[in-house]
Amino acid sequence: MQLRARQFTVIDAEPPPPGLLGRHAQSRGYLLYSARYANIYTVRHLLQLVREAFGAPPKANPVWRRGAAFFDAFRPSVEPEGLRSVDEVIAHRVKHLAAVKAVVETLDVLVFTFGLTEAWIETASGTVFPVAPGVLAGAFDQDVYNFKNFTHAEILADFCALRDEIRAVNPRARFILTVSPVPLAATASGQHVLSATTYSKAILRAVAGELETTFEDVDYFPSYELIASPLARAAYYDESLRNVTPEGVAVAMRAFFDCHDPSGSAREAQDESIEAQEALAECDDEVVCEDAILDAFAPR
Amino acid sequence: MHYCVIGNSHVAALKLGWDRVSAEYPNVRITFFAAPATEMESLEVCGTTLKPGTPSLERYLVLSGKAGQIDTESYDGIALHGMGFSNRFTRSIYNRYRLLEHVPRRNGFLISRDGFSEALHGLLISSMGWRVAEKVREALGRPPIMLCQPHPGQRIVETDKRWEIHPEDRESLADLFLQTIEGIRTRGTPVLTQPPETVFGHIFTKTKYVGSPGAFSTAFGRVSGETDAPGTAAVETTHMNAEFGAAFIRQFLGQAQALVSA
Repeated sequence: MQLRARQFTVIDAEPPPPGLLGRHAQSRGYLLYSARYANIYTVRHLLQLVREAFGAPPKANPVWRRGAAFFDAFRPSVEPEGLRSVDEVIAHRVKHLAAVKAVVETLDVLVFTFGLTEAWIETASGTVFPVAPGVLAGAFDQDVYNFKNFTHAEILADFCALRDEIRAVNPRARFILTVSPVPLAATASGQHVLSATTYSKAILRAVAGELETTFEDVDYFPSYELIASPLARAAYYDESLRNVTPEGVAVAMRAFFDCHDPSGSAREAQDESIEAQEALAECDDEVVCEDAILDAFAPR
Repeated sequence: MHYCVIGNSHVAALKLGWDRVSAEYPNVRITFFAAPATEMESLEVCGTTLKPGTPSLERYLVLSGKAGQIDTESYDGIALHGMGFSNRFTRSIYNRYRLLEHVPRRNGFLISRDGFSEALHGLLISSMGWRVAEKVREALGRPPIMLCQPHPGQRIVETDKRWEIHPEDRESLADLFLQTIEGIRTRGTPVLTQPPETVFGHIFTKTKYVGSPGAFSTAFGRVSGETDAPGTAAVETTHMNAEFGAAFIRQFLGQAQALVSA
């Protein structure tokens, strides 16, 4: 949203229909991403999506149920009440994958935030899901699904494969990586959530750093450090100590625009009122996050 | 019972219709306040009164309703008509988005029924009619009755390519419109759609109910200095006639008391 406000060209291959505005659009996965793939927390999920968009069929059933409604298992949040049939989910997914393909083929820069190392996978196929089956839809079966905590080596390899596959169809593609400063709300690793958070962030940050030093077309933007560093004294987290405040978002974005300013307008933009930036950040703050849903409905 | 109908040029058909059927309702009075296009948008809320925000609107209020302002407490019920609260929004979404059940097109996005309806709701509450309704709600303390703008005349498909909607998709679009209207009713605003006998092909109005240019001045006269707009469309598809107005007024009066007390 802030990128668009600064006249950056942000690809939107699945724009909302007229009348679907603001949080109503965002709650359906519009206006938040370059296509309606919803939050992608792991590199494996992104790799899987790009491969599927370029023709690799999904190895797991992509349709989950909740009551009489049907959901896309790889983005169950984009239709909050679900769709009416398996056929409808598949038809929407085919269109969505075409949009993702168009995004990959036309992008100049892919901005991706490393969100999590932890994920839920279908054991037999290794297919990764953005949320555990049974949370938003579907049903958890321990014989079918399994917890996976991706390692440094796995994430590094996944990103290298992703980079290769994207550059094979779009040689001009470059990458900006960030690491989410939001700590885990819960972990399935068996570790204390503080330890699990540190472990996860350390791996993600290390992978990002290694990729940045290895590839000229990969850059790392330190929004994680701006928000989570002791220098910030936790001032950019709200009272939950998890959610980033509008001020924090504004600080990170100001630093981003200082570094990345294709139009040369960063200085003028910097003079904008803090209120305006906070207003934008407030909107960004409404980003739908399954992590927050998990937190809200987690057993106490 | 004394009702008030506020709206734009579409109110002319209701006024002409009321002139035809008023003898059937000896205990009912209807005061019409009409002003063309977006004039009514400048209404201002002053307590329980709606005052014109422009001299032009004041002239139209006097012309149509014989009063320079609208005292909302003077009526047993207030209804709004026209002002873009219509199924044209259904068409504007359909032009780029389709449901899976719709006939496939080369271009366009798939959308869920819920997503379509939510977008349509967003457009309806962004219409001028809804904005004026908010002012009436503020002055009156309760929502007015929304009388939907008529569907376009069936011949609009000859003059406006945007209305080239596949015949197999029309019933579905009508259902989406009615589903969305039902949602608005559920949230507390009474809404009446046009009488079923006036509808053609689910989303159009039968030609026999379509009016002719100049209905506004026929219904209300002219404000000083006003002339007919030049270049009037050869085929009128937007405004309806007295027969339509009579049917809509009958339907309205058949339900008005229940809607007002709901």
